[in-house]
This record gives sequence, C-alpha cells and structure tokens, in this order.
Amino acid sequence: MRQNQMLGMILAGGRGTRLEDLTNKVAKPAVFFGGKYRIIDFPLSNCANSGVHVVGVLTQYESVLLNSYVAQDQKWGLDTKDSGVFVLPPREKSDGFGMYRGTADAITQNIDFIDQYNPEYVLILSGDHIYKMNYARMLQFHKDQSADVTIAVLEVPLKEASRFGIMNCDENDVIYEFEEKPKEPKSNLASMGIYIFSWKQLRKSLLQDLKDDKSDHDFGKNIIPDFLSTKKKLMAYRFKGYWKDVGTLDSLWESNMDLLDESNALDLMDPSWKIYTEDVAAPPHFVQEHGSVVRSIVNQGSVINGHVENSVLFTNVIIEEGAVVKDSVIMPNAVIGKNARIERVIIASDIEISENAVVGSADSEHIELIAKNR
Amino acid sequence: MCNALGIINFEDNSVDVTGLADYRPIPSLTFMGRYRLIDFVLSNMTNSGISNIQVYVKNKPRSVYEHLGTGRHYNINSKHGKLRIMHGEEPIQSPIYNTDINAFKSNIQFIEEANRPYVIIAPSYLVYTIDFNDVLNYHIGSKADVTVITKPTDLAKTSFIGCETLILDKDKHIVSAEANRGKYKNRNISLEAYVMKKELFLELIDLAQKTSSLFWLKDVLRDNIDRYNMNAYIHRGIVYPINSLAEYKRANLELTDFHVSKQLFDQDWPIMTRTSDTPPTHYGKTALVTKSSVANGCKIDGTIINSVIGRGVTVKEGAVVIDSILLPGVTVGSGIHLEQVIVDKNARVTEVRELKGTADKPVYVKRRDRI
Repeated sequence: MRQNQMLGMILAGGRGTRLEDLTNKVAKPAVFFGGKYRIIDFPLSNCANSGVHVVGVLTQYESVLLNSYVAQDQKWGLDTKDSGVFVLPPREKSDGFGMYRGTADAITQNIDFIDQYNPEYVLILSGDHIYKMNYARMLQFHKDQSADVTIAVLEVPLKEASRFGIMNCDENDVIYEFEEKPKEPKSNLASMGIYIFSWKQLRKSLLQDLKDDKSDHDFGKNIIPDFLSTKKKLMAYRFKGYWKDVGTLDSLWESNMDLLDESNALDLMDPSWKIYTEDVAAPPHFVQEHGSVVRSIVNQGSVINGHVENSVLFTNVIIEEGAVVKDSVIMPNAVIGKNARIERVIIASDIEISENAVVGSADSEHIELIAKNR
Repeated sequence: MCNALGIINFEDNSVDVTGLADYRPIPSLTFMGRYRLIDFVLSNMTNSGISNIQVYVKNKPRSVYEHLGTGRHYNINSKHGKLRIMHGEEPIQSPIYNTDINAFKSNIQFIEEANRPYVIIAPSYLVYTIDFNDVLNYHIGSKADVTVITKPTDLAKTSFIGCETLILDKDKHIVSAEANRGKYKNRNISLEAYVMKKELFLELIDLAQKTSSLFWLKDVLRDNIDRYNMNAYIHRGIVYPINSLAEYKRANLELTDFHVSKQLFDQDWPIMTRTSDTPPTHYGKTALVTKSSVANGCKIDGTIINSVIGRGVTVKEGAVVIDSILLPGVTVGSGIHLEQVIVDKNARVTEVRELKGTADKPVYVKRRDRI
C-alpha cells in the first residue's frame, strides 16, 4: 500500500451524558446540529477539505447509527481508491474482548489498522466539536517546528480557563506543562483535543502505556504527560475561529443560535470550506399562506404555516397553522401542531407536539428538551 | 426489479422554452430551484426498480453528463446497474435530422445488447410521478403491442399545447392521434411514455427509417395506429408539461402550494438529484416570505410572495419579489421590485429598479446577466 502522509483518527466513542435523552440511542458525535448536520460532519469535512484522505472513526457507545452513518464515505468525498472512512468499534481479539478503556487505548487497540497505512503522522481528533480547521496548515507547523506532538489550542477568557485542559507555554509556544482543569490557571490556552503526533513516537508511547496497569490510557492524563516527562518537543498551535464543545443542552442550543447571527464566525455559507453531510431527498422548504419566518435557518423539506422566529429548523419539519416557534431548535421530521407555542426548547427528531400545547418559556433558566424517553 | 430497459427520450421541436433553453438542454432545466427536469423521470425509473437506463440527449450534453455522473445518487448500482448517456455518433447535416429515431439508430447495438425483454420509453419534459411496474403489469395483462401512458385533462384549451392528444374507444384502445391546438377543453394527452417488447421497438425504429428519415418515434406510432394494437394506460396524478416558458412558470408557481406539491413529493417515492452540499437557508430580521418555496443556501432579507427561490439565492433587505422564479445563485439587490419575472442562474439584479411581466408573458432575465 502507498504510504499515507497523515492518517486521521476520530475519537467518537463518547456518550455525552449531559445531552440527556438526545443521546439515548445515538452517541454524541451523531447528534444533529445546525439545521442539516450531525456533529461528526465537522471533523470529517475538515479532514476531507484538508487532504486527510484516510480516516478511522473509533466508536463505542450506541454505535449502530454512527457506524452506518460514517461508513458511507462518499458523503464527504472520501471514496476514491486511495481514501476511505473506516469504522473501528472495539473487537474481539485472541486475548479476549476489550472495550476501549480510554482515548489512548482506543488508538492502541488499532495500531494494526494504522500500521497498514504506514503513516508519517497521525492526527487525533475528537468527534464532538463544532469548528472549521485546515489540518494541513497545522501539519506544516508541526513539520516547521520539528515537533514530536503539536496540540491545537484556543485562547479562552482566563476566568473560564479552569473548565479546560490548559497548556502552559514559553514565549515560543513550546509547551512545558499541561494542567487538566486547573483551579488557578496560569495560561488561557485551552487544548482543543486536536493532536498531530509523529506516528513512530506515539506508537512507542502507546505500547509503553499499555503495560502500565495504573494508567487511565488517556491522552490528556497519560500520553501528553509522558511526552513532557521524556523531554519531547510539544508545540501549541494557536487556532483562531469558531470552536465549540457542545457538551450540554444549553451549549448545543447556544451554538445553534450562534448560526442565526448573519456574520457568525462558523460561516456555513463559505463555498471554499463546505461541510458535507447526508444527502436527503427532500424538496425545497415551503412557506405557506399563514407562515412567516424571521431570523432563522430552515432546511429543505420543511413546511411552515405558523410563525418561526430565532429558530433552527431541520429537514422535513412541519409547523402547522397558528403555531409559534421562538428561540428553539426543531430536529428532523418533528411536527408542531396547530396553535402550539414553543419557546426556548430543543425538539428531538420525529417528535410530534400536539395542537395548542405550550412548551418551554421565555424566562426558563435552562433549555427544555422534548425527546423520546429511553 | 423491473424487467425493462429504461430509455429517457428527448423531446421534439414542439417543446420550446424560450430563454432558459438557450443555455441548456431541456433535461437540465432547473425546476423548483433545486431539481433538474430529468430528475423526475429518472427517479421514477430507479424507484420502479429499473436498473439499466439509457438517456438520449439532443444537444448541449455537458450539463447532463455533469448532473447524472455515474447515477449513484439516483440509486443506480455501479456494478449491477447501468446509466448510459447517449447521443448520435454520426454528423448531422441539418437540425431536422436530429430525431430520436436517428439517435436510437446510431446506438442500436446497445439497445439490442440490453438483456431485457421490455423497453419503457419516456421523455424528461413531463413532470409527474409514476410506478412503471404498474404500467408494465398492465401492459402484459392487456396483451397490447404498445401501451401509452395517457393523462386525461380539462385544461387542454390553455395547457399541453402542442402535446399529442389521443382518441380512445371505450376499451381505452387508441383510435387516432393528433397535436393539441387548444381547441377543446377535455383531451387525453399522450405522455409520450411507451411500454413495448424490445423486439417491437427495434422493428419500429426500422420501420421509421424506411418511411422517412425525418420521422420521430411518435410519428411512426401514429402512422401505424391500425397496424399495431395500442392501448392507453390512464394516469390520474398531476402532470406538468414543461414545453413553454409560460408552462414552466405555471408548474413552478403552482407547486409553491404544499397541498399541490405533496402530490409530487412523497417520502416513499423520493425525487433524487445531485446534492450541492449547500447549508440551510438563512432568514434575516427583515425577511417577509409567504406562499413560496425556497431551496437551501439562500440569504433572505427581503419580501417574497408567491415565488420559487432557487438554491443559493440572495434577496437583500427592501427587495420585493412577487409571482417570480429565481434560479440558483441569483442576487436581488435592495429596493428592487420584481413581479412576474424569471431570473436565470447567477444573474444579478441590482440596478434596474423595477421589472414587471404578465402572467402569460413573464419577463426573462438572462443567465449571468447584470442589470
């Protein structure tokens, strides 16, 4: 097989418990976002647009939907002879069946997959972040700096820094210390969970980590500290732009609402960096006689005969006459019945809201979720 | 699986969509701001389980090749199925020789080779949905030589002008055929969709060639109405003929009403097309939209009433669009008033303050024009 310069590995095994009933039957990377997409479309499209042509997706929690979704690699144009998206759930091996015990273990258990491609570099990504990034530029930086590992970082407000993994760097952005959620952060450079490793180095470190019974087999807790303690060169790669970890219902709602601002930093309209997703055969959307839409985004197949304001409507959503939808996210195939009032709510896919129902309120502390119970 | 070779035929010269058709062949006309006309007949075929399909193109094939590709997005299996785009291989001395029969003749070996006992032939300028299995089963049961899909209409005085009308006896046997000149209200319109045995199809091509080198398939059928047993299959669903700019506009605007369009768009019978990966449409604070259909990737800040808005269209604040069709990529600047206008792809209307057509004579703005 031809040598692959940089292989992508997306960690997509997490449940995302704080997304409550949205992740009952699907893993967090498969959660809907932005009127049309699933969260994992972002790292996968970034890979496709950055020339990372072979991508392994490590799945574990409720992976049926996610596996079938990412396996159709033509969605992202990753279906040429030299490219592909490969689903890598835990598997039975001669020494037993091993769940992925941590983020690093997920990679360790797939060393054989990576070795097939004999890559020079491996790009480790998280499957549950919303952002657009050119990994080719990050790789160039990694090479220019002759780094052993390069970690993408985002400048966050210092008062919020204690929520993140913080990289402490010298004046040349060389990382000398990593602190997970520090109480008193020394820097505001938060790790985005995006790593470029030179594969030989990472492979060695992973095999060593495998032997350590006390290890959590985690990149942040074990692998990065190992690279630091063995005096490897760790570089911080500063990312400027929109990035969001949609870990809670409030933050999922918020990042959907971010898109309503016409000059939002994510800019899904940019034709030079498209986000690819499932191609659903649905007609355009229809605004009917009693329908009105302001400051919202609407996807194909929807039929609007009520009032929609400050909201995100996914595919094939129906808003019946007299219904009012405000500050809400309505996922695919949901129906909002006649004269229903929806405010500050996330409605999961395939939910039907009955006539005259009132859901959510303008002054609620948190966003309400309407989803099927487990 | 449907045991027939699918043939998507091209239209004859009675189809004249002035303006739009100067830039692309009829199968590539944008429809409902998102589709191309050929998506309907092709989706009908693949949804019916027809996996071997030949598309005949009269002229300007580039957009057809680009749009259809391998046919994977229409569910055509790249190993077991086959989508072929066909055109005449011999030089054409004059446009009058550019007939469907001549195109079939120059590709005759591919029709002969197709390992299917039946052929289903349909053009792309007629927009409707149908399960061809029902038609094939009806055809086999009726023991007719040729089955013609037929739409009874009461709009024949104003619509379906130039289409072929069929006179049927009480057993739906076709007695005679003539072009619709708009003289009568109720007519049976031939949808130029035919089911027959492949051998008979080959025989008809031969017969046409022997009679006149200018003959079309519909000419040879009309000419031999007494020789063969031809039956009508009555189709009750909605049908839009896209054979003039006025009909193009009528079809698009009628379909902005969801009660009409849901007769055409059924989730169990998807109309497939090539995706262009556009994001959802963004509505701004000043958007005012009613009775319209809007494709993806638009930025809407103006007023839109009873119109079809194509993919990636920008309507700026203060613009007013009424009874109009904006094809993909069009920009309408602020303060512009459009009424009864068809704006072709990627045109920018930013300077002229007002454009007004009439229901019968919409104003047409050229592709990539700046006005």
